[in-house]
Amino acid sequence: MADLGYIALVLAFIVALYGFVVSLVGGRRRDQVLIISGRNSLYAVAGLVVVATSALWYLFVTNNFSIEFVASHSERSLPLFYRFSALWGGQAGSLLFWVFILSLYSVIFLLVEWRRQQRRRPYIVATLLAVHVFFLLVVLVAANPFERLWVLADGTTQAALFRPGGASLFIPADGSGLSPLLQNYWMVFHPVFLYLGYVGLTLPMVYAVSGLMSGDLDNRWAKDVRVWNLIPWMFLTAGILMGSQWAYVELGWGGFWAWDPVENASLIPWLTATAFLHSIMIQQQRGMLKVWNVSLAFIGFWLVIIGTFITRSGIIDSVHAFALSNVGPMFLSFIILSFAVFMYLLWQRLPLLQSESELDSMLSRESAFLYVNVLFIVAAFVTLFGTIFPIVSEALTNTKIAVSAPYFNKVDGPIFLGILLLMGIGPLLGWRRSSTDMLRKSLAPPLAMALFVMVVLFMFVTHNWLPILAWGLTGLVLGTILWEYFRGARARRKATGEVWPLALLRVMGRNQRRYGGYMVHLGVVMITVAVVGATIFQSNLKTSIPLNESVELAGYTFTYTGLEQEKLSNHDAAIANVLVQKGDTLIGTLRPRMNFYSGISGRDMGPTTEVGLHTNLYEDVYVVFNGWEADGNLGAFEIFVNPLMLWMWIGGLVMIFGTLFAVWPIPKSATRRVRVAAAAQPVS
Amino acid sequence: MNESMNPETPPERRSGQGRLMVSAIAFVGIILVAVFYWGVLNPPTRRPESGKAPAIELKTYDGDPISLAAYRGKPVVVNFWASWCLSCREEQPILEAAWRKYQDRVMFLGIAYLDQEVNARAYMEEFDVTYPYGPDMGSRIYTAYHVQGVPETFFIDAEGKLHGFHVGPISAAALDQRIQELLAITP
Repeated sequence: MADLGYIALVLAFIVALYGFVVSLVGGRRRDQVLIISGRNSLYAVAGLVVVATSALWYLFVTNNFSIEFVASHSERSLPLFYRFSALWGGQAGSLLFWVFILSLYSVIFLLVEWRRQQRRRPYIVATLLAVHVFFLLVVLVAANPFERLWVLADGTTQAALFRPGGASLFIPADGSGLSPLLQNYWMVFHPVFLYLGYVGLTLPMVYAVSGLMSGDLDNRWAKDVRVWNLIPWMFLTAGILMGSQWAYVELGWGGFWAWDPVENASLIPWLTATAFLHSIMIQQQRGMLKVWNVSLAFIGFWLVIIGTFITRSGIIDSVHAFALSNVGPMFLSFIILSFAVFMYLLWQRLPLLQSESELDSMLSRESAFLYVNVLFIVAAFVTLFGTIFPIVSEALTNTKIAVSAPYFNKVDGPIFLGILLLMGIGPLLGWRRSSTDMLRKSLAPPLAMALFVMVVLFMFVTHNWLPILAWGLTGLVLGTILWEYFRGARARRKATGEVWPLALLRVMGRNQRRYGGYMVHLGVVMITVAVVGATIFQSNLKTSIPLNESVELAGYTFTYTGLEQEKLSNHDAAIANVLVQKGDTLIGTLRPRMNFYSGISGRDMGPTTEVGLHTNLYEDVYVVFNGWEADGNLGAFEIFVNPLMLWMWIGGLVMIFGTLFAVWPIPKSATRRVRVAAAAQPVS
Repeated sequence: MNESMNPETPPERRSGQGRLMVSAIAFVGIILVAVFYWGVLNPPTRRPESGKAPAIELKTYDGDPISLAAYRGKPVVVNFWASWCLSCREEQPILEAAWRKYQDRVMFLGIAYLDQEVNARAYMEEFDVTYPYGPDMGSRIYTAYHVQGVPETFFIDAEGKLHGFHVGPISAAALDQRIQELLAITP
């Protein structure tokens, strides 16, 4: 099976290289035979990659420990579920998984786009295959998951694809297991969604590059690329939030985001992709920002590669960085090469990318989009700067200085508040220019909402200006969203005489992009509410509790009622029972646990914690079990009460729902019928 | 971009703006690439095996300061451990026995990793450990030595230079051999 996987990878590499060359030549000569051959080779590559990935899954499921990657990321007692996800638990497998997702995306992309992209076709295939070639090369040369373990003549073991001289095959009795931290169900789904987002950002880049190569650069691409940016963007959003959820329930420090390089690596392309999805609307409406949009589509992809490079090459120390490895130089070469090619193409095509119109007013929808674009890009840039600061500082001063959460909070915090402000005002501005008079009129209700929120907060909740400002801004955005829904429904009701709910539904259905976008904004409002609540108003207590005694925090009483031990297939668990009461009301028993995984290579990696969590719309009660002594007569705990935390996950779901609403293909006939009906209706 | 513009801007100026933007992107991109290139050429230091041992400054659980530099002139055995670590229990009696045997000529130091004082004290009392030990606040020493899990043991000669490390629980024979090697080079 390992041979099958390896051979499939080699063939995929050769076919990808062939298809790349053939597509380029075919595109140049407009030779349909070559162009079709290029497309078919992409399909073949995808099939071969699926075979290779399935082979690796088979090796995991059948516990084939003669394969080094399987032996070091799985074990006999590992539940089947995790044996499946162990594929992306290490460097080599996760890179293969990357190619796997790229192949799936490529096939879907071609099936949808082949007919409507006459001029770009060969270049779309060539660009997709170029990315395949690079990743397949990395998997084959630098991080091959199909390497076997061998015992050399001198008794040492070594991983290699082919039998080293005088060596014999080594099959360990059992594998060394999957990292305990990854044995959490969030860690099964989080990487998949993150990769769907990460790898998907290849598609906007493919659009931009194939446009530059073919010279097909009219504004239609801004419309066509939208869905191919939104879908990966949605996955990336979900992936980031799932990662936060994992950190929240598994790492046991009471928070959800630590500004770790690996987290930043996923946030930075998210920021530029968000900027991109706003700025292509300017091009669609006004034919402006053409150079910028093409560049952003590339930059998103480029930052994905850079993020992978930062976390995989080991150039930055991080809790979840992979070990230093030789994929670093390969990624760096690809970063340089892709950048050089892109800049060359862009320079060549500048004459085709001239703006058709210019900013008429500083107070217009397009200028608001432009400002928010600048803010997103600045946020991405300062976050990247903070992430790579250890390298910069070491290069300049010879000491490695890592910047931590306070830097990011100070720098990104105000930018995010600025984005919220624009989110509140931008939707109320018209294209081209808005009169201040009109703005004042439409801004009045949202502004009233913001003021109301701020006054209520000041009177009843807090005098701290930061949450008042942040929550006030969320009030503004919420006001704008509700006001926009109301105005849309009112206008339609006036024109058609439909009842309110129907008018609202129909106006939403006719303008999915707009109202879906507002739903996404609503999700952002919820997440902001949660972030501010759970960080600024968090209560925290670190304490030891004797058996059957209690502590109090934020109105809750916590009673330690006993310790249980549990033996599972691959680890032992110690579970503390903590009775939680609010006033006289019994909330329930929380069961925070410590998991002890048997030592990997003779060492203990330290226990992992699984928090005990009670959650409701108002706040989370979060109990970490840190240890015990005297046979469980004393338990050590860290307790957090995190206000409004649940809104973070609800907000994430709303964002995803909004995105789906914005891109869902509602049958044309349905909308047309509505439009006809609307037009036929006499205006009262 | 922020200057007031009108639709009559001549095309040459517009493509000039495009070129400016491309140059700006190229400039930022090249700086980034240069930083990464430097990073690849200068990878972070991994677990040190030789050369000057990273400094160790800590306070024992009783509040007495300990400094590696103060032991100059004697070889030092530095052991990273934790009370929750099961394989540390295997080697703890071995370490204590070696310390009692060599304490005139070799220094021993226990560094608790991610541990709580009550647990750590109880553990050391259980094994009746008499060499100095204390917590590694903020895991600074752990990071400086690039330790990857406990137990790990580092061997430092009389001049404060590293002479290798041992990963996982150490056997009595291996520990004895390491100490003999250190003593052989001690003036």
